[in-house]
Amino acid sequence: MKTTDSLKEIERRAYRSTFDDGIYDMLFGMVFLILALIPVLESVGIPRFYGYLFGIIPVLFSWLGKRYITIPRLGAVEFGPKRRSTRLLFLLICAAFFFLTLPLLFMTTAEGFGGSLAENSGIPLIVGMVVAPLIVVAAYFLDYPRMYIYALVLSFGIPHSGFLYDFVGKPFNSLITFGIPAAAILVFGLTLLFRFMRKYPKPTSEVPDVSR
Amino acid sequence: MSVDNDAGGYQLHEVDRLIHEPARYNIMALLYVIKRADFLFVQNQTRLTAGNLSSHLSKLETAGYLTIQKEFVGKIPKTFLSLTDQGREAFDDYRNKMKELFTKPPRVHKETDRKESFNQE
Repeated sequence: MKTTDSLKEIERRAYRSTFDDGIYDMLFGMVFLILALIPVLESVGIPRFYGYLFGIIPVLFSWLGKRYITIPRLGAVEFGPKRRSTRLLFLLICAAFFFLTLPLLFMTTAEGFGGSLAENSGIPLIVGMVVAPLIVVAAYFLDYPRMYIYALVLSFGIPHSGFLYDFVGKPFNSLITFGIPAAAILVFGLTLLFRFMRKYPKPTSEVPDVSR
Repeated sequence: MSVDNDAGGYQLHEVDRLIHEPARYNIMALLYVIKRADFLFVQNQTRLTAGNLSSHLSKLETAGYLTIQKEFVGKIPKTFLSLTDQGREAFDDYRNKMKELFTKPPRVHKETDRKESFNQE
């Protein structure tokens, strides 16, 4: 029915407007940047594990960004039960994948494996194969199409970085593989953010009281 | 021209005039597809001015179609809007009537048809 379609369209438009701020794009850009910089940090003597701790920065940035940039400009919204249940399902899948990828992460960092496994194509290929479906599932459940591209970049990037190691060595393999997409995604995210801030200026006065 | 009321289907005057107004329809349609939203979100989505939105919300609230709740998020006061069950039913009813109005339009008699039928009588 046409009316149902248009109602779906209204819901989808309202939902996707919450992604107009580019904050999640910048989150992915930062994740890629960290992946590019970890080998650089390693080359100056900082262990790989500490590099992963930088992962908290994009998460913190997106949380603060949504709280202090997006909501004061766009407003707050709670979507229907369908969106909430798919989000819950997504979180469950995330948790499952987290426990799946955790051993792989340790395999690339643990002393027993010499850490050198990370440079071979084998483990990175498996990591790529595990991480890619996670992001694809996330893109599907969150109804966030740009995430498919990020899934592609990450899933090909991890084994590609291992492959490049033989040719350019460390840390240039990661800098090339993740640094270039990170820069592009960050610029794209910043452009979206500026556009969003211009489109939705912060209300200067108190929203008028709705007469009762 | 005249409209045959016995031809089945709804007449335009039977639809809810309160929802039929475009701005109020937009507000109702948005709140129908979400659980609730604050004033600013509804204003941004409907592209209405704050004063205009406020006056439409008052009318919908008076009709019992939506609830307006004041809440504090941190130290900031927020006005949350959501449809009542009555509002959802009214919107469903409005959609059904409009759908029927377009799929089964009322039969319209032309003046010539009327004259012909009058002559036959």
